[in-house]
Amino acid sequence: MKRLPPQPDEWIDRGRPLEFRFEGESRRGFAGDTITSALLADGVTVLGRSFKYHRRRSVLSFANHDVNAMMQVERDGHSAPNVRADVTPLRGGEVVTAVNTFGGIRRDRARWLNRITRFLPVGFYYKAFHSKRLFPMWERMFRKLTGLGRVDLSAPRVRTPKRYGFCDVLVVGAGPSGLGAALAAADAGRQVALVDENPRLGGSGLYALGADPAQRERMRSLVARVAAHPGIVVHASSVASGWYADHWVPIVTPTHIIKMRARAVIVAAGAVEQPAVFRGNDRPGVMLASAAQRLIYRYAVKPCERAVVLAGNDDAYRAARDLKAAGVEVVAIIDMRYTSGERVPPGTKVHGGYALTEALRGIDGRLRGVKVAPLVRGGGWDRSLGEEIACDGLFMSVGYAPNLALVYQAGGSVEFDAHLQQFVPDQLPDGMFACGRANGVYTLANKLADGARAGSAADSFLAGVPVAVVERPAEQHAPSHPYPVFTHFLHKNFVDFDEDLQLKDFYHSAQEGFDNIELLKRFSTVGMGPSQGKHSNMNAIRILAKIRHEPVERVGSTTSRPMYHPVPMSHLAGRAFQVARETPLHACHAAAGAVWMPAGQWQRPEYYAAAGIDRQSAIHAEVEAVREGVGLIDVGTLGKIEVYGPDAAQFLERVYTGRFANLKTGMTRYGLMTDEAGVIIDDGVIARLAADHFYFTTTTGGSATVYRELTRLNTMWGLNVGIVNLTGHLAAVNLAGPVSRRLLQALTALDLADSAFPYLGAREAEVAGLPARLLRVGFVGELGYEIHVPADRAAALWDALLSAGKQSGIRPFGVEAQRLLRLEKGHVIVGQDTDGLTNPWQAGMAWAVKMDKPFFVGQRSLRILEKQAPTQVLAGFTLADDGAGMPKECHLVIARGEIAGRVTSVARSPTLGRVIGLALVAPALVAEGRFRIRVDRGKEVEAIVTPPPFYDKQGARQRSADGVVSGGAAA
Amino acid sequence: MSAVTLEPDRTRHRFGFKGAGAPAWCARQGMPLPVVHNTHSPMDDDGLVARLGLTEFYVEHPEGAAIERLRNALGRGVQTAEGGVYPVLRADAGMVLFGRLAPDVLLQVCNVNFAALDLGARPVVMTGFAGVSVLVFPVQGARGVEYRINCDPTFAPWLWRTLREIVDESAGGKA
Repeated sequence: MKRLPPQPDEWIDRGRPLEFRFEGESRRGFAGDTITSALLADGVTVLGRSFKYHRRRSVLSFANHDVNAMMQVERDGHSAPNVRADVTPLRGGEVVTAVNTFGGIRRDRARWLNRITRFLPVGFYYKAFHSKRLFPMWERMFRKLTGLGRVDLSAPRVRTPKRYGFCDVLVVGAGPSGLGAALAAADAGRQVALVDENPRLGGSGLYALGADPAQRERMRSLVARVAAHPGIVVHASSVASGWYADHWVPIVTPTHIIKMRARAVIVAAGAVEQPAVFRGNDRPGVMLASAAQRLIYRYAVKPCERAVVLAGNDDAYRAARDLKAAGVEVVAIIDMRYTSGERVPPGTKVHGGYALTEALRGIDGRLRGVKVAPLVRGGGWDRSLGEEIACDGLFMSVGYAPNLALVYQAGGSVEFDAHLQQFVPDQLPDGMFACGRANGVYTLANKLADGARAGSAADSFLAGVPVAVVERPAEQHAPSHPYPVFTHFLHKNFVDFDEDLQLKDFYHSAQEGFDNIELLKRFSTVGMGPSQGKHSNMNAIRILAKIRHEPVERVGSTTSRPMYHPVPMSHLAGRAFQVARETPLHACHAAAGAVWMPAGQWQRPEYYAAAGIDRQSAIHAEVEAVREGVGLIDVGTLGKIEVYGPDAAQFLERVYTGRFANLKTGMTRYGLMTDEAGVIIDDGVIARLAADHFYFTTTTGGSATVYRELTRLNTMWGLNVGIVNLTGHLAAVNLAGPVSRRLLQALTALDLADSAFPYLGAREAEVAGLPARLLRVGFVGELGYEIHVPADRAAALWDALLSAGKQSGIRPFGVEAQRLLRLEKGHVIVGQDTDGLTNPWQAGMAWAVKMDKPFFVGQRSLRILEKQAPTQVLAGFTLADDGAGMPKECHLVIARGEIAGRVTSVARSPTLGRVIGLALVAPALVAEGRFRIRVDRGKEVEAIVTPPPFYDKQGARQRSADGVVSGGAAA
Repeated sequence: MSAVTLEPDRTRHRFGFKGAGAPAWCARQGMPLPVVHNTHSPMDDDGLVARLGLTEFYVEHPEGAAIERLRNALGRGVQTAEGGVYPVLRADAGMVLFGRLAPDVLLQVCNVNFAALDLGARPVVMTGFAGVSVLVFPVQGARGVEYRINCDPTFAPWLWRTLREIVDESAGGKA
């Protein structure tokens, strides 16, 4: 192949030559070239090796409908795998190598696989993996042999914008019919988005010319009108990758995805040209006719010197004329039909009613000629009259498969048109229209009219006017041949080029019982390669119909799912919005040396670092401060919800397992929430601030879910309550430790004596001059006060408490210290010590469930569960030998060689001087009093069942009768 | 003027109330009741009252006293003939986005078609920006269309950084 003189509408910029390397050799192209067009123009004829048999491959569709030319491309210091060279623009400086080779295309060490194809029958993978014993061997072999590219783990993270888009009418495809549709809709005043995967508009109208300059002029005029129309936004080099509900279509552009919300969609996506099936149809030099036309008119590449065209339709003759116009000697048209009214290029011999039986192998596997023979009516061909024709290019024009992926995904139905020999839309969803080749319309005039019809129909739909039903413009000749398939006793007649599937594979699949199109697909893997059946599914359907002696419409087709073409992961990830939430005290923590940890969406201080102190020591020092003096923790991440109204108490009775109707004003009570299945889903502290006013906390991760659920429930129940989520609008801290009362008393006029503000009390008062709600809680097992203030007052409160506590050695403490403190008390963290199946009976929280209430969510399930033996229970444990090995959370409990539970919480308690933990285990193990935990490296340690709390079993310290505030462990 | 600008808005005081009696109570306080939900009505001195649903309202005002007056009037809530009315503490963080490329920034974080809104109807848009729930008032101001964005203050630092990044990429706007 070589570069042609400048073509009228070529896409290359001859003023910008580019250099790159391919398979170790220096190559040249132009800006505007694809990698493939540059290679072909530079004389490269073999572009890759096939996936399975490692056969030499070159251009087939030149349209992203096959992966013969799939490359590893190194550029800017990084390497990208599986780059589709046919459609990837050349930038210059790339280092390109073909995937699927061991040692390069020329000397591929795996090329011997092509000689043993008989030992790799269809379904080979399934049969190989059937043996459990041999599974590892096959897995290793297949992993090694299967090609495709290498992932560059050092590749930088690419952040692409996410973007939403809106339009009245989305037109998919900018060929003749798409352009006509876009203009019709835009002329009617609609905002139109026009999407095409090519960098320039015009589609087949500007390459399938049949050497007709009038068509070119007509198309140029059309393209210019569209480009200048203010109502049309063009998205070139972009793919409408799928269809989702309400005409939501992701548009994959070179740099990002646009989530396009259209009011109407016009599918003008054209048709995918299909190959014929004959021996050697994959040889370099054999390609689709449209590929040759694209090479000629877009990239000025001469496809060969001496051509044969295989015809199954009239387009073959137009392709022959285009080849001739490009200076190619077209020696023969092998027409599988007996007649055609199309003009034949001068000097070309037409073999009417002929079969193409074989593409002949020449030097380096390239095409050197073809074998043809007259067809015999009734099937087969007359071998005795066969002849060879020398050529270096064979161009197949035998038919098309409509690109109806979006129609399928939108739930539209198709029917098989026997005259056209293709599927065409039958019933389309509201707001979806089809035109052009996708609609079975092929001649230029018809496509333009069909496009205009679709554009007007979309406008009518949007205007609420009934859409007139218009007959599809009639095509005189069938664009697709009913069976462009030729058997050969030596095979190598490929149906799916991605997967190296031969004709015989389909017969064998059917013989094994996989004679349904969906089963055939999965067994043979037809259409499951990177091109997802774009060049193979239609032939597969025709072959299966032949095998089953049924018409094509009885066979049906497979389901097309998004995405239409592969999408870069960076596009799917987009900007990667990972919401991070900060409490109002974030800056205070940062100033105090917080080491951050994620807690759901929140960023929380894990602990506060100090010079010369390691993590463990810092956490233990924080624990000690709380046990011996006073500590301060930000608990603003807790959910904070208010319930107002006359029915507030009744509402809480229904949503929590405990009793709240009798909760006195000014007091709090622990609340446990279960779902309808009786599974624990949340917990918190409920405070009654007035007869008709409750304020309560939820778990850190549960606030939004709980609020939504409460709102949902009350929508059903219709109680007279108002529910307000204050989570982000209030800050909260917990001041805890024996010294906390003395410290706090200095900042508030509220009487903090037990008699005035007892354990589990709730008060509203000013602290440091700030309006606050105070809850006397005991989560960490010491005298403690949760103080809740408006978010914008949080820093002032924090500073005031730290300042007031300076003399007492107050210390901020983080999440890790809090976890340890509460573990010493055996307090459960919902979601950590419980899982998605844990009910209160299993968690040892029966005390929080009042089954004698008339109703609460989950009560019915808990009644049933109450009568059943639990499958797991939450048990406290200590270790028989603290030095034997340290368990971690989620380490497994093993009993008699089987998994019998897991550790949910574990830590070395500085207060108790030993390892303590909680584990969900089989009840029998609790009865046995001990169990074994498998720690790192498979070692097992013995745990002794030890009922919590591990510290201050009577709870005296958190209740803290006046005067009992001295330090020291109380285990 | 920069093609797109993002500014913090720390000048507004906020308050909310909800409940079956909220519409009537709103009117009784002398506030201009937005009849249609998801719209807002202007108050004197650049304040506004927005109707977020049938029975939920949001008020913001540059004068703290105006908000304090409402808060005091409602207290812990009141029972009216039409039903209960309950206060909603609002400590929203505010920011303002404006400029020629502001719609382009919005398209990168939100699936609402702001360009299609009729500003004359004084719309209020409750939606998500990059995963964060926001309350947006698109208003015609001296600087063109301004998008006044309110969100939960605990999300605000992250949302600010995210919008800031997109604004900077889009046009080099400055806070």
